[in-house]
Amino acid sequence: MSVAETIETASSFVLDAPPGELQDVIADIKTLVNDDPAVLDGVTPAMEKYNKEQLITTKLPGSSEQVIISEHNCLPDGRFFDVGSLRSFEFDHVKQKALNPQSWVLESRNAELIKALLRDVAPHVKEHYPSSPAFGVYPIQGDAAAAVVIVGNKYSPSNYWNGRWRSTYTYTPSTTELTGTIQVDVHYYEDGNVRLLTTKPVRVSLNSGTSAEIVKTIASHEKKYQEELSRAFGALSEGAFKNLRRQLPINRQRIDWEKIANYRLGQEIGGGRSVTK
Amino acid sequence: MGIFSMLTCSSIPQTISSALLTKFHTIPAYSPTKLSESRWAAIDPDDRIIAPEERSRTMRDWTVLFCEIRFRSEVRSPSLSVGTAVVIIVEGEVGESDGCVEEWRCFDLRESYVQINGLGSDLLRRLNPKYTANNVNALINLVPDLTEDLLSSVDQPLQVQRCKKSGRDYLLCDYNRDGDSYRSPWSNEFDPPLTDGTLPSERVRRIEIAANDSFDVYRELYYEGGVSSVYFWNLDDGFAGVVLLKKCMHHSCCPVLARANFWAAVASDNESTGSWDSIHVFEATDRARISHYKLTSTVILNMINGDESLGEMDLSGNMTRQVEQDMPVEDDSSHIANIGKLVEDMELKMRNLLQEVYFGKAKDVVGDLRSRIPPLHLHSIDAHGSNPAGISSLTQQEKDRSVHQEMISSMSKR
Repeated sequence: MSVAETIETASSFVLDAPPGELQDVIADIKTLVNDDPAVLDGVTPAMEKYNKEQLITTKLPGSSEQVIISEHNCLPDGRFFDVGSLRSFEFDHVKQKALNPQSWVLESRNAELIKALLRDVAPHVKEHYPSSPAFGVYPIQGDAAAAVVIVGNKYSPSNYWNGRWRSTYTYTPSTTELTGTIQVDVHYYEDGNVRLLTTKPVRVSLNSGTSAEIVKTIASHEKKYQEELSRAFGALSEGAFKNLRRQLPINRQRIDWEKIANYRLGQEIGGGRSVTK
Repeated sequence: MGIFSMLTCSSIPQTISSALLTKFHTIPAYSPTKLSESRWAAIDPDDRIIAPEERSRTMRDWTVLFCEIRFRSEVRSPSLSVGTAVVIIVEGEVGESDGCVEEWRCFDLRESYVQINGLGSDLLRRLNPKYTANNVNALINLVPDLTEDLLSSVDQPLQVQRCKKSGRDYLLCDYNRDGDSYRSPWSNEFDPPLTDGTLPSERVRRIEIAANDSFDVYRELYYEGGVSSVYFWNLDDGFAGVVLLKKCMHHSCCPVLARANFWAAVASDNESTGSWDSIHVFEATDRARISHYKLTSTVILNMINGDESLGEMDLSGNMTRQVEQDMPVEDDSSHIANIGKLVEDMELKMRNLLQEVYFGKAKDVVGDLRSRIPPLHLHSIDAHGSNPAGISSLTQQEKDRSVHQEMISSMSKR
């Protein structure tokens, strides 16, 4: 396998890492490739992509607030900015740590809306995201739109599960349209490997496009989606799961293995493939 | 299933031995070479073995001049249980000693071996279980030495093939594979045909035929469809086998759950769909009037749900459990009943477990990530001792109203 192919394979592993488990996946890759520096350097772009896609959160040096890493707040020089704290910072994509924060100025024709959104999203996040959430509002698309990004993480590796909820919205003032995606990723891995992955697109036309209306719309869509998801668990449990394998045979009795030959007899008499006792 | 590969593996892959070697000081000029067979025969690994607890410290004291890693089937040292051991023979300088001292030691490295051997598996239990087959291939390309271990220890969704002789479907796995051919449980023949394919002995094949008939009945009773296959093979002191069961809700999504097919199935039926693969590997060790059974079971359960209001929902994965049990044996037919009961018990247990993890745990974690009821409201409900579950069926608006009412009434009491 060439170095380029190895990097490609290792990169696909990185991008597939469950919430909170990137460092475990990297540790495995390191051992598998015998710490080959060429490969480890080669997967750095994948880690950057992972951090942005997964809305990785980090604390700025000297601050206790979580800030987000995403494509929406990435500056052309690779640094990231945070509107809430008016700071920009470097990010070590391998160690997942923020470095060298500097003051940063918000220059946007949507500055008023962005500030109002920051103020209005905060209570929504506080009410509905109980575990180490973070959010951000950023000018995007050459200042033509504003992005609202919310992420909630809960890691419980000692109990073999981790989870992440991501909401990303784009509001375009010129069309008063709010679009976005809600994604949930849950990983359970005690004596197994179970993964829940969901994606829900959102698209709504707003009336006024005020910060209050935007946040209210986000809140109602997230609430509706969570109810929908809850129902879907029930539908899978009662539908697909039951149809795949019964809990007990139709006569509600476990098989009498000493007399399994009699079951076969029934099958032969019946002539079909169904079994009767 | 890892245990089987451990017992059958007679040499250690190059990558693993070099990884183990990094635990020692090595002098580049003295690249490790093989010891002669006579030298090996003269070595009694029990004689100068380093106990596992001493290992990490002692290993660093050695400078390797000469080294080889081998499996030893019998180690009698009291600190080690009898069985297969990984032993490394090191010859060279000890610590700060002056000059080259003719010395050697044996290290029991089972633990380290398992650790490195388990790497691929650790990675696979983290990566998306839906793409385990692809990830196994990627890992094999990355570290070819892991091929045998991964193929025998990682369970992947089963493929279905039609038996040319009987016209019946059967399932493919590593246990009925010989080269590129697979043996049909119905005809006992390989496809593509093999003249020298490994077949079970006559006696074991007789039990295998009966087991296939019995599990075909089991399959119909519990799965009401799907495909089953049972394969047996001989062991020195008994036999081993695998019971396979598979059901797909849509033929279009068989045998590999291609994403596009899956969504097409969801879209056409506007309902949930999924697939179930059971892989039960067992060993039966014959003793007087009883047999000792060791069963390792994996269920791969993939499910998908989606429509416009839900978007896409994919709930997929696998879980593995083991059990060991002694059961009475009168004749060979007892084995069918014993294995049948073991598998039936295990599947019942695992179905409950899957239900708990897929529909309980996963759902609970979503609730931990984002709560529908704001924490403030939860606190006020708890503080007044009412049961939050009691109002969970009400709409949010009604919940809010009842919470407000409670707050007002509690305030007016003060």
